[in-house]
This record gives sequence, C-alpha cells and structure tokens, in this order.
Amino acid sequence: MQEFSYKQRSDRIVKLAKEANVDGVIFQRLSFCDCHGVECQMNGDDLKDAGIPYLILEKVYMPTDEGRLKTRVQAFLEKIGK
Amino acid sequence: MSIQDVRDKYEWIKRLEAFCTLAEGAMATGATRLEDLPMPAIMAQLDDYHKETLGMIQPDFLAACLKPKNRNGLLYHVLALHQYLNDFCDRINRGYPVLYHYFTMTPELFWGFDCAPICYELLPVYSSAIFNEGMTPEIDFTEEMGYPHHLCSAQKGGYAAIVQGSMPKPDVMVKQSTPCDPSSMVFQLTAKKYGVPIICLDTPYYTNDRALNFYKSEWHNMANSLEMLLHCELDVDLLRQHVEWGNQAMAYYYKMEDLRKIKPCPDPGMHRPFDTASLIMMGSNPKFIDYFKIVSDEAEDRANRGQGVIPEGIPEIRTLWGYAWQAWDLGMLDWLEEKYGHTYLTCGVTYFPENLAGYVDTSTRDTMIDGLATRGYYFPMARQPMSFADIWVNDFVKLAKEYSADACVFAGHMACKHFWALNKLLSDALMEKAGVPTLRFETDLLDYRFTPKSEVHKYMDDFFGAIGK
Repeated sequence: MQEFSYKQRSDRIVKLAKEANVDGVIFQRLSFCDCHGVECQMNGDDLKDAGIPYLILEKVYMPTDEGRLKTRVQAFLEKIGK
Repeated sequence: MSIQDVRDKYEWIKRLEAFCTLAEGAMATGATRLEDLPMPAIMAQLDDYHKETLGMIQPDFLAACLKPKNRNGLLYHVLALHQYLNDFCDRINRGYPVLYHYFTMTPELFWGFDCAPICYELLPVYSSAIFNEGMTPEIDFTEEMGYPHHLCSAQKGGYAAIVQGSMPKPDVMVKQSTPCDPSSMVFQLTAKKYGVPIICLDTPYYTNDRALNFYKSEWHNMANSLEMLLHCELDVDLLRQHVEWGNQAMAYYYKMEDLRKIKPCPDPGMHRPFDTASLIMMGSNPKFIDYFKIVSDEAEDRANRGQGVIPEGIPEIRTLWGYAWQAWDLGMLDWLEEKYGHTYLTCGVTYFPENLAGYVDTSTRDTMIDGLATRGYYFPMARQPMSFADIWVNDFVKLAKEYSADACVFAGHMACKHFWALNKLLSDALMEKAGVPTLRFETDLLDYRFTPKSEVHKYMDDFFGAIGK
C-alpha cells in the first residue's frame, strides 16, 4: 500500500499559512494540469476547514489574459476585506 | 433493511434497476420496433417511477436494441447486470463495506472478500448510454464544486453520484496507477472526502516479464492489505468460483474476437459497448457467461451461413475504433451499419486477445492472484497507455491487417491526453503501413453537449460517404 502523501503536503500548506498569519491563499494552477487541478480543490477544502480564504487562479504559461487575472485577484481581495 | 430498501436508497441503482426491468419487459413482448411495443398495456402495468424511467430512455438507443440482430445481446446483458445490482445490494444489506475499484481490474478478487465491490465509472457510463440527459446534471454538479472541467466526465459523474447520495459512500478504494492522472486523482479526492483508505497499485511503465512480475507483487500486496482493512480473510473457494465464471466468459469472448475477423463481420457493433461493460463485471455472476455465449453463438451461426449484419447490397466498411464508442449515442453504431455498411471490429476498450492474458489458473490462491494481475495488466485501456505511443500504434497497425480493416475512427475523448498525444502518429502509421484512412474528431464520450450529435453524424456522413464511393 502506498503512502497517502497528499496529507503531508496539505498539512504543510495549512501550517505555513497559519505561521505566516496570512489573510488568504492564492493557488495559481496551470490550465489542463490534471493532478494540480484536483489537488487545488482538495487544498482549498482543507484551507476552508482551517478558516483561511483561498482563490484558485487558473492560468496558462504565456503572459496573456492579464485583465481577467487582475479582476479575479481584485475580487478576492475585496472578499477578504483587503 | 432489505435488498429493496438498499435499492431505493440509492437513486442511480434504483434507476438502473428500473431500466433493467423495463428492458426485460420490452424484450418479452417480442416487438422488434419501437412502434410495435404495446404501449397501453405496458403503461398499465407500470408504477409512476417506472413510467418516469421509461420516459427518460433514449428512443434511438431503445429502437436499435429492439432489432433482431441486437436484441439478445441487450437482453442477456441486462439480465446479468440486473443480477449484479441485486448481488451488490445484497452485500450492502448484509452490512459489508463498499469497495470501489477501477474499471481495468476485473472484480473476481473483490467478490472473494466480505465486501460489496463496484466499479467507479460503470454506472456513469450506463447512465450516459441509456438516459436522455445522461449524467449531465452530475457533471455540472462536480464542476461547480471546483473540479476541473477538462477531466474525465466518467469520473465527474461518479463523484457527484456519491456526494449526492445516489451511490453508496466508499469504505475502501482500489486503483491502479494506469491509465491516466484524472482517474487516479478522482480516487484520491473521493478517498480524502470520506476519510477512507485507498490502495494504489503501482503500474510499470512498459510490458516485459520484469514489469509483469512487479505488477503481480502489487496485486498480492493489495490482497494482503484488503485482508487487514476489511478484517476478513480472502475466501479462496469463493474466489475460485468467481474466477471460473470469469474464465468461462473469456472463452466466449476470445472466440468472438476471432469471429469478427471473418468477412462479412457477423457481429453487430452495438455489442461492443455491452462487451466492455460485461468484461468489467464478468466474474461477478454466471449470467455474464450467458451474455458472451449468446452473442458468440449468434455470430458463429451467421458466419456459418456466410451472413453479416449489414443490409444486403451494401459493401462492408470494416472499421476499427481507435479509442472507444460514444456512450451517449450507441444507436449511432446501428445507424452506421444500416446506412453505410460500417462494421465495428474492435477498439481500444475491447481489444483483449487470448495470447495476452489467457485464462486464470485456479489451482491456488497465489495462481489466481497472479492470473488476475495478468488480466489487469493487459486489460483494454490499461495496457495501451502503459508506455509511450508504440504499444497503441503497433496494436492498431496489427489489428488493421488481422481484421482486414477498411477504415478507422478515432472519437477522441477530450480528457484523454495520452490518446490526443498519439492520435496523429496512429493515423499516419495506419495509412502508411496498412493503407487505412482515419476519421479523427474531438468529443466527450459521456457528455453529449461537448460535440453535438448532429455534428458527429455529419463527420460520419462525410467520411463514410466518401469511403463508400
């Protein structure tokens, strides 16, 4: 049976977020990355349980779509009161 | 609690069971066309739930299934599926834990434990194939929860069904690392959500003796882990019973693969989806042997009479399907037969010849686990993506020659990156080495909204219309 290693990664993210006393977490994920796409959702659930707001920001490699990204980050900052 | 209570608790099981009852009833009428079904008499016998279910069934699918050449395949498959659902619910009713496994692992081993085994992707595929709306509400539900849109719809549907309570929650999950990341990730997501253990079988990256032996050791480890997790010993005699059922089913399956090499092909294309679903469950109960036997007997009888399954006077277009059928439009396979003389020889989810996995040796616990591991190792869609493109490409060039193929269709599932990475290599190789042209298009095998039915039929009209000239 293999080690269920997601938990260690997620615990570390939550621990780092708490230690740094962050107001929110942004997961920047690449479009069409299967593994990271699902893991972001899992990480988000764990942060939600820990009471930490998060944003999953899907983007591509190239520096395009700047306006959409800005809008999403602005909306997230407004949501967490920053 | 009773078995009926279990069925009623889980909507997807209840709905599929209702379909089985309706399909059995429709076949019993002897009607071979939709318009011949005695609807007033049928409706008078149905309760509201079955009436509602009847209204949800895709008319094209049902019409194709009623045809004389297709009807026994559907009937015997439905009888076996019905038995499977009954046995699954019976085990839940007895308090056994629910075990979800991946579709490339035939379930004999799991039936040897005190558990209720079910394939994660199976009911989403049935739902997509049978019902008008398929599982689009479930796909949307899962995406609204943050699940990436570009992952496999089979898994989106299964996840939603579990979260919504339409399917039972898992107690343990088993997944081999092939064929793709999306399938591995949805197992991980589900296991995390319900805090249940997941057993991951590491799959080697190539096919040779060393790799196979490693994979066998993973199956032995899995069996040992299941004994710990399920708090019971593997019942070797019970396992042997299920393995024998699987072996008997495979004997007919291998025979059918050879029969389809005959010109004209004596086996209808509608049977390929039933074949795949039957392979996934074949060791569950002996009725899957009956399914493979009836379709094999019918094909053999046609072959002996020199008959095919296409209308007289139309030249046969012998076709390979490089990936799989579109679950939401199985009636298209019958339409292609009737209109273009298209015959469906084999595909990426049915190619499983005898020389690869053979039969499982039932002598001992170890030989059975070794044999089932070998079957899983070579199972359709587990084997091809195990390596670079070469296995898939070489398989299909070989198949094109063995089956005397005239054409190939690659209905590329949008979530399958492995397939999309190799589809041009594959089509080029088929043309260069076997002279076989290929139709390639993007679709979602389980979500009818991705590429509309009218568009897919237009692709088919253009391609097979040109080939037929």
